[in-house]
Amino acid sequence: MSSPPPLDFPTSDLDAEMEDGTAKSAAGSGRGPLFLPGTPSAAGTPARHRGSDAPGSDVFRSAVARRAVGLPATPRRGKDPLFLAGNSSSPMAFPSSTPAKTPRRSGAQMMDSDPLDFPTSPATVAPQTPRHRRGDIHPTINFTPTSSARRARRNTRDPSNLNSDGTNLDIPMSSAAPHLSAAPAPSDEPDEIRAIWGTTVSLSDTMKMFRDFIQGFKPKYRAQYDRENGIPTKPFQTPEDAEVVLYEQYLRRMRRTGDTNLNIDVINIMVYPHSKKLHGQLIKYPQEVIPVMDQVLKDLMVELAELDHEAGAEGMEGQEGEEEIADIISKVYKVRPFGLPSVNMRNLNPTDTDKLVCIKGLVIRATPVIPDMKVAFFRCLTCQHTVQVEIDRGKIEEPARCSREVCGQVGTMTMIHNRCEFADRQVIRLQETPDAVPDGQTPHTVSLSVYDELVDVAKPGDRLVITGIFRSVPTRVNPRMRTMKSLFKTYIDAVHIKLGGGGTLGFDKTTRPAQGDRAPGVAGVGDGGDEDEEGDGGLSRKAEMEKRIRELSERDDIYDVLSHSVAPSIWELDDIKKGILLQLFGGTNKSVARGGGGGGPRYRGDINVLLVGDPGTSKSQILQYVHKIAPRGVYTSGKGSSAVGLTAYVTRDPDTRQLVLESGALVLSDGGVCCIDEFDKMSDATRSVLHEVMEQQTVSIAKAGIITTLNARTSILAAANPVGSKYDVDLPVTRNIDLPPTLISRFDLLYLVLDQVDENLDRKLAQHLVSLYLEDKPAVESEDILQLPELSAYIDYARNNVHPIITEHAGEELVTCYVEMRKLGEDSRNNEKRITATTRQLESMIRLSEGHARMRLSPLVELEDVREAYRLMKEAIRTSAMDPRTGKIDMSLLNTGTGSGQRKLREDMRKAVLDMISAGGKNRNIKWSDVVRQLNEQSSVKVDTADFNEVIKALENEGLIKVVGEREKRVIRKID
Amino acid sequence: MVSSLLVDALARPSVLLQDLANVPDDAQDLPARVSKYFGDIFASDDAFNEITQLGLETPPESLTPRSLVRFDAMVQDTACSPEIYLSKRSSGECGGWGLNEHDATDDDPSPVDYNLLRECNVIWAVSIPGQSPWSSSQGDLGVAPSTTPAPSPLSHKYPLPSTAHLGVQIKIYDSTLAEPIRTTDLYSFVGILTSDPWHTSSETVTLVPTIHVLFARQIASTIVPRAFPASFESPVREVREHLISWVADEALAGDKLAAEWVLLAVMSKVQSRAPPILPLSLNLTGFGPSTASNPKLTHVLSQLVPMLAVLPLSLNVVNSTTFVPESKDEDLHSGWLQLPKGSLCIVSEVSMDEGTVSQKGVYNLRTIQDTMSNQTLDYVFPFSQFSFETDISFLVLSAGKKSPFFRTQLQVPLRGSTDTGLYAPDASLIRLPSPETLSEYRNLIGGGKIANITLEESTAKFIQDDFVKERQAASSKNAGKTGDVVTSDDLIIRMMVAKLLAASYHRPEVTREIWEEAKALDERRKARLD
Repeated sequence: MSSPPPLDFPTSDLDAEMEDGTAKSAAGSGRGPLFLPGTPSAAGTPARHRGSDAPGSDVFRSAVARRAVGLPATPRRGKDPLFLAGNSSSPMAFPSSTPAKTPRRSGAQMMDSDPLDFPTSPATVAPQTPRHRRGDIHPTINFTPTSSARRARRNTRDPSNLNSDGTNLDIPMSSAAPHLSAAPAPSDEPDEIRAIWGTTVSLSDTMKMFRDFIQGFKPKYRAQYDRENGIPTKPFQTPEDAEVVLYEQYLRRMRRTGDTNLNIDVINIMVYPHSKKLHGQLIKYPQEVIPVMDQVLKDLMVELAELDHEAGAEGMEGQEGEEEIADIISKVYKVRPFGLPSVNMRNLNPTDTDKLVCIKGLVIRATPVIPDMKVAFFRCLTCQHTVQVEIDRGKIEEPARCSREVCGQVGTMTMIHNRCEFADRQVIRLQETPDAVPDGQTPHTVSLSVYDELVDVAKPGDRLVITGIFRSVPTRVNPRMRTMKSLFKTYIDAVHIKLGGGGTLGFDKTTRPAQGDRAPGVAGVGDGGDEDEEGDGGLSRKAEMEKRIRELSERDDIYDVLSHSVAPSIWELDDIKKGILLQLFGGTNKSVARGGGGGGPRYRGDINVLLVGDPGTSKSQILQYVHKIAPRGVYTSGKGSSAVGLTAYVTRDPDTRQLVLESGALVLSDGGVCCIDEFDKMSDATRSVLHEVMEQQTVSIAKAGIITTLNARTSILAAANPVGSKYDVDLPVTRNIDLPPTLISRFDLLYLVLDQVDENLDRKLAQHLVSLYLEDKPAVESEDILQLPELSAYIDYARNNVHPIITEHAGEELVTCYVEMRKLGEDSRNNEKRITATTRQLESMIRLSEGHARMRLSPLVELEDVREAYRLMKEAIRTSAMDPRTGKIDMSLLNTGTGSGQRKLREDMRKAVLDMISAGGKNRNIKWSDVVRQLNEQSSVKVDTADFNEVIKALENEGLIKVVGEREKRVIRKID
Repeated sequence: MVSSLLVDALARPSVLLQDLANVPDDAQDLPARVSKYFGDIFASDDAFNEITQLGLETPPESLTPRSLVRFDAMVQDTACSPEIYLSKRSSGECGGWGLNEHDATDDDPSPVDYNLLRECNVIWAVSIPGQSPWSSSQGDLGVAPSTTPAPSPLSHKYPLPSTAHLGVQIKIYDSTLAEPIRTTDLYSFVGILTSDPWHTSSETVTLVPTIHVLFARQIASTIVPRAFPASFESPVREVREHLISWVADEALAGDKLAAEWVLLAVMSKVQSRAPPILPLSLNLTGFGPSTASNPKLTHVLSQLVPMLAVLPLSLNVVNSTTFVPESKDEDLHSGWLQLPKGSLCIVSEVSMDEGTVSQKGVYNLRTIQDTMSNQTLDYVFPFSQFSFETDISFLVLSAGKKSPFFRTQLQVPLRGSTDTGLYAPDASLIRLPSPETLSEYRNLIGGGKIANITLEESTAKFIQDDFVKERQAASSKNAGKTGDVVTSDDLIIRMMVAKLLAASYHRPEVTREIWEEAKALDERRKARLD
């Protein structure tokens, strides 16, 4: 941002010399190398290239000039090279007579102010000094964007500029322009300096290529490239779509939205025939090429604005357009390249220094925003002479002595803090993502410097894809020694950040609000929604994966392949594996948009599964396995987890003493699967939390004065042991499992994993185990199964991309199945109708059908999905809801804890008790033990104490009897 | 005859290194040449043993800087950022290995040639945790007095709190050497000793002892090389019998059955991950409340196994110490369970009191259980956890009838026959057998630890039939009740026991007799449970 400020901050008294051409040239170029084109060193910082040099600057200059006449705009610093050419502060101090030669070699990048011109009024300097700097680019090699190239182009463009100038201005700046271009004449130097130092890369070519690219790139080039490389692309909706000049559109959009960042996919640069070379140059010499690109971008922005202005495009007419152009001129434009194939951060090595690299990682720490000094402002205590020093590779060279020859005092320069320039900077520590770390290794970390707009984009915990420049800077080996340059530290200056890159195991996006916390990607135009593209590596790999997954889903036996891939080391248990597989896919989350009460209720799509079974039946192994593949899986043991561990709690941050909310397993697995082992060992308090989680899918916490509800949209896979560790087949399920029925009914599928003695099975099992454990011959799986990462990718893909809708047929089938399920409980010989299935089971069936359709990657839920869901439910119910007394499936067994057989039994008992009490006549009191004894005498089966207690309690509630006394002395009293 | 090269290498390693660097050889990278060159010089064990060994008795401070040292260590932290160094100075001298760092001038104006930059891996290594004095080649290390303050400046990087140890920064220049190194690996690092700063995120820079590695050797998990089957002076059965009696008499009040189970548990190891054939965890119950002193078993076992960590569970330890390695401020702190593969960990619950277990305590207890049953340890990193494979045999000593915290695969209640106590304040009360016998015992256990046991087809068939038969018998007896039916888990445990039993006899194969013996042993154990 060097040039515009003079416009914005006109200083009144300094414009006198503006009239003369040289001064003006200085005005235009003093901040930039334009003025010093011949000195490769002059442009030490990219800041100065930008805005001040290159073709854009004549427009700028015209604007300056325009103001200069009417308004006082004094780009005064530019002058000193003219007037004080010889006494520039360069430590090398070789006198140069021409401005072009002003020595500004690396050592001291100082710009001295002219004290004569600038007497003791540093305040006026401030508005002038602002210059544009990109924090992320510090060319270590000095270079000068060549003046000749610029001039050449400027000349070609002159007519249009003149026109535009002419129309805009009352001052014939057109005359000034040639003048200006003549000014740097001495800089006409050999060709070498127009190249990037140490190479044959010509900067003018680079500029030309980039200009070509912006003006010529069309989506068809990319489409062709993608086709050749087998990357599926979206077909263009109309042939014209392929022919639009994409980046000009972006430029216009930037103008409309006021964006200053243009994200450019480097693949696009590569595939555009005229800019192929630029791709390589950009990667090898980013710090030279990016500023050049910035420059070209600005030029083009201005050009385009002028063209549109002339053409009278919408919003660009007349005065408005002029203001717009002025605005553009005042802005700093940045090119942010991205789209390189990402490399593992441990593969970065010193030879990548100063090259453009792309890495992925997890933010573990981010510093607060650091004001990064860009230009230090020094003032001589003796003569008030002021000097500015720019940062050079992280260091600011403090001037040892006053640079004014007249003064020349040593040690009088003091820094004036509030006159220095600062930029936003943030240091981020990026850690390798777990999936990128080689097996058994600890993750590496790398430092990242982010600047300006990119500051505060990433927060700890975010996954990022970073495009940046790899740096190596010398560090001190030992604080006690002055040794440098033998040891180096490395970091990355980020030029582009993409959020949320690369994890294979994401969360279920449907559980997230439509407007996420933060939009992926970062300020700027170019990689936004309409493109939706990832980096080259990412795209092709992703596309490849997608292709594979699609292929897989075509297989007829995909259901079996997938279910066998779940916990392959576990013997049999096929239906359980299928149930768990569907759980992993999950149903779709629905909310009734037009329902009552603000948007209506939300129906969970998460499927909950409970495994109950004998010890030693590998339940835990299944859980462990699911935990490994499930998105955001959390594994916890009911025994070891307190309510806090499972939910969320409030603590004070040790550093800030602020209350912070920390979430536990259920909240952490929001959008994933929470595996809870030893479900029965869980404390009641913890379990009660699960009630809320499993139906409302939220966790409410009230602690330390904070009451909040957190989302816990999680599927639960739980495993429990039966009461007394072994399943007693003579007792109903609810008696075997020590869990409240209300909780059990919230599980869609309840499987009993029983250890049954069966000779054939036993033999097979023994064979399997012996070969596994003793013979050291891991059973070679002949059947093809998917490996864990593949399965995980498949599930993730399906969850994110497939949202099946129930077809009419399937809907009808659901109804039929539901009716059938309810009919199952109907006994023709008995009028008594038992509840077999409830709407909860219907909902479960819907979810399971959706899960099955998702597994097939089918957009529709069809008949077969419903049938399989029905079958699975029947399988699960058949074993779990079997009433051992009636042999019938009885859902109420799960829902209320009593089966209808048992209900009948209790009713009989109730009658008997009432009879007994009324039979007592006057004596209204009967001993408890007598009642039990008499009942036992009457009944053919032994009276269950639990049942008896229930009956008595019910009678008491009805007000028919009253129990008096304690324990053995209890007496039942009839109440009239 | 000691070659002059060896003498030179021992006395002036830097000079040799410099000379080597001055002989240009394009075929190989300098770091690779260095490892080969020095590795060759010290190829023989005699030469290798000539190198000064770092230890508590010869701490880094006692040695002159840049001398050649050797450090037998456990790798604690591999997450340190690698270092970038200039491999060649502008003056043409070679860089790295801490060479020529001092003469570089601050304002060297020449630009850096980034092509000369090389990477050097930095890791943190500590003395092998729980290493028994007898297995250390430093000779009699003696029982290190635990009261002396740890000499390491970064004691949070050692698994066992308040235990004397060394911690050294290791810089490895040869990437082929550095690549396979994982945490808890055991290595002998040989290199040049200096004192370099340790880079942490904090402002303060501490100088730590640093070894610039010339070459390294991996240390076997048995520390002392062992063979299987090994040859013994007397028949192996006899040695085994004596060993069991000795352990029973000295540590377990004469309970030979418990001693036999201890022997088997000590020898078990991770045999395979898929299917998981992991070490059997053993819980010895009925130790009774602790007096202030340690169980004698710890003293006895430290004479037998090369690496033994005792984890004395108490409320304080559980609630306030860390059990898993955790990265805090990008520094990987160690935890009790960061132990080398092949270690034995005795979890002693005998001094546990009543009281509240905090959230951290619950987590810690769960970690032990997880490590026991999965043989993986989750290192905690910010926003992520990384699972590392371990191979630690666990022996849980409980005061009561069963462990309140852990589920082990095996449980053996102690039935002492003599009234000698189970506790002893220190090792001096243990009567040691003759050194020769002791070394036979160690040989038996060490060999058993590396055993690879196989099974014949006919035996496999026999075992399968046996299993089916037993289940049939049990189910007919109980008439449908799932009572004491042999489950598949029982079968798995029996098979593992059979393997260990074969290993303890130094027999390479499970035979029918061993199978029957394993079953009998398990039956006797189960009988005690009722």
